[in-house]
Amino acid sequence: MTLPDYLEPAQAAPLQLRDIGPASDTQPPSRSAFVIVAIALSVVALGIECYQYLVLGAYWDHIDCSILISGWQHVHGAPLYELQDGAPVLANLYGPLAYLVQMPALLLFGAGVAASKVTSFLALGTTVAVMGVHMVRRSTTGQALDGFFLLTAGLLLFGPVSFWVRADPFEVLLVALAVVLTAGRRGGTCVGVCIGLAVNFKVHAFVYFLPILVDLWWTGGWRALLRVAMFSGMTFFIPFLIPGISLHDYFVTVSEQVAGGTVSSSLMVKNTIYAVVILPLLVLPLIAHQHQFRDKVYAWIVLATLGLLFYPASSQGAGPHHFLPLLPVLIEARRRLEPEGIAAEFAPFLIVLTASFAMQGTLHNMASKRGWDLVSEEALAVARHSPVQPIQIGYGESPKSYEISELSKTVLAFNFYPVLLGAQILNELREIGIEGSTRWIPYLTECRIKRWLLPKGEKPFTTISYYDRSQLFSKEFRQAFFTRYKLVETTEHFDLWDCAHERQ
Amino acid sequence: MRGSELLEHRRFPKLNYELLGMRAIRALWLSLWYATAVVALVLLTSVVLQNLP
Repeated sequence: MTLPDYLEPAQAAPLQLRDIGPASDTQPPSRSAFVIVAIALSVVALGIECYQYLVLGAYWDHIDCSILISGWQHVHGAPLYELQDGAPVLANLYGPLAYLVQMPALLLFGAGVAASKVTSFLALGTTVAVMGVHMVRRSTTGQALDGFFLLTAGLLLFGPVSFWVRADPFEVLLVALAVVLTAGRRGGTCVGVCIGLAVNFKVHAFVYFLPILVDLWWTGGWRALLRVAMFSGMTFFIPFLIPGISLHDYFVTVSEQVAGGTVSSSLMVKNTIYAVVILPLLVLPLIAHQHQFRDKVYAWIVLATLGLLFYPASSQGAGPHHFLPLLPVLIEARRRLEPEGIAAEFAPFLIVLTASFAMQGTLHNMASKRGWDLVSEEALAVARHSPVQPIQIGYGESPKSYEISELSKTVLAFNFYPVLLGAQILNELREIGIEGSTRWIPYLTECRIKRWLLPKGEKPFTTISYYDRSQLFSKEFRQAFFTRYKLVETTEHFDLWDCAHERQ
Repeated sequence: MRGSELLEHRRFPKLNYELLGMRAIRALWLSLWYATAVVALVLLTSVVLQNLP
């Protein structure tokens, strides 16, 4: 009679720790089925988010609007980093490529809200293709599935950031390209170009490449790193050769805002939640079984980079989306660690779990913006039929009307009604202790703006800062406005204020 | 061991509690992760179904 192994005597196999540990788990087909279902669901969910964003007729937020206005106006002759009394007029702390990358699509398909999103979707699609090919070529089927699972779940977790009209989708793509090209014959050169481009998008983007740089140093030594430094430096400066993009003004803008930024405790909590979900992806495979020293170092550098990113991600106005460009190196680290066992293999389900809530929030926010395109169309129609020019979109008092004003400004800019001033940069300046609206008082007193379109029924220019809830426009600015401008007409969504001096 | 004791041991062998405990922990561990996966998939499915265009 054979006894079951949970019974004595000693025919039962001697007890090993691996019996409860992950190493003893062979991959049953049920686990692969779970992973395949999760990939399919994540792809569908990401597709829904992308579709909803494409047809929304609005942007995720005011930063997207500000980037597109600055880029479009630069293409049509305005300087990108224009300073006025030592402070930027419109453009923020992003590098030139963040403003320029969407422009070819706008020129090709015609300037519009949907066309401005095409390049970001293209970047997202290319990232998926690049990482997909890399995983299929360099991994077993199981590893490739795991990598694709983490990729789709990660892109979904970071919701609109994966495809919004900012630098992030392009940074993810550049890190993915660097991951794939590191092992190539010209790895140093390719990685250098990718870093140069990424830093041109966002100045701190070199951080995402740290694991790749350590890996390059491992295989190619200091010479490889020297090549990276040379090519990244050269690539970084190329966009500054374009007329109208001042390196000096860019550095003034960035240094002012980086030096003056403060850390938000609520963002630190949010970032910690995201980090807690991300950490098991590498920690569990690391403790599950032995790995080659180089692969362990790669994984630990990825974790250290996650820690380094805590500071920029916790600055006011930032957030956990700063972790997104780390996704390709995270996937590569997991591929090298070859996750085994239920915990290591199923850790990406924690991402899916969190992504479900994140997706609900993302779609809810998008739904709240439905119909805003009609308001911006009305603004455009009013501008087209206005007997006086130039016309500008102003601001009311509510955060919602502020966002709609930013969208309307973008639509007007696309249709060649230049934006002369904007409240978005005032938020950033307020955060570093600069009052930015007073310098624009001559625009009002000299009636350089003939007509203002302000949100209907709201107190003009009483917008509050999204950082400290203080007034963005100074008392003097509002006083100058009320002295010079009079309400002349009301449309469905706007109050029209004309320069009274001009009308007399 | 007397004949009656040997017969009793064969019919009712003593449990290896250590191994049994380990197996129980392993089963719990597996259940925890499968449950996480199921909950994650159910939640995501529900969000997807609610938001199909």
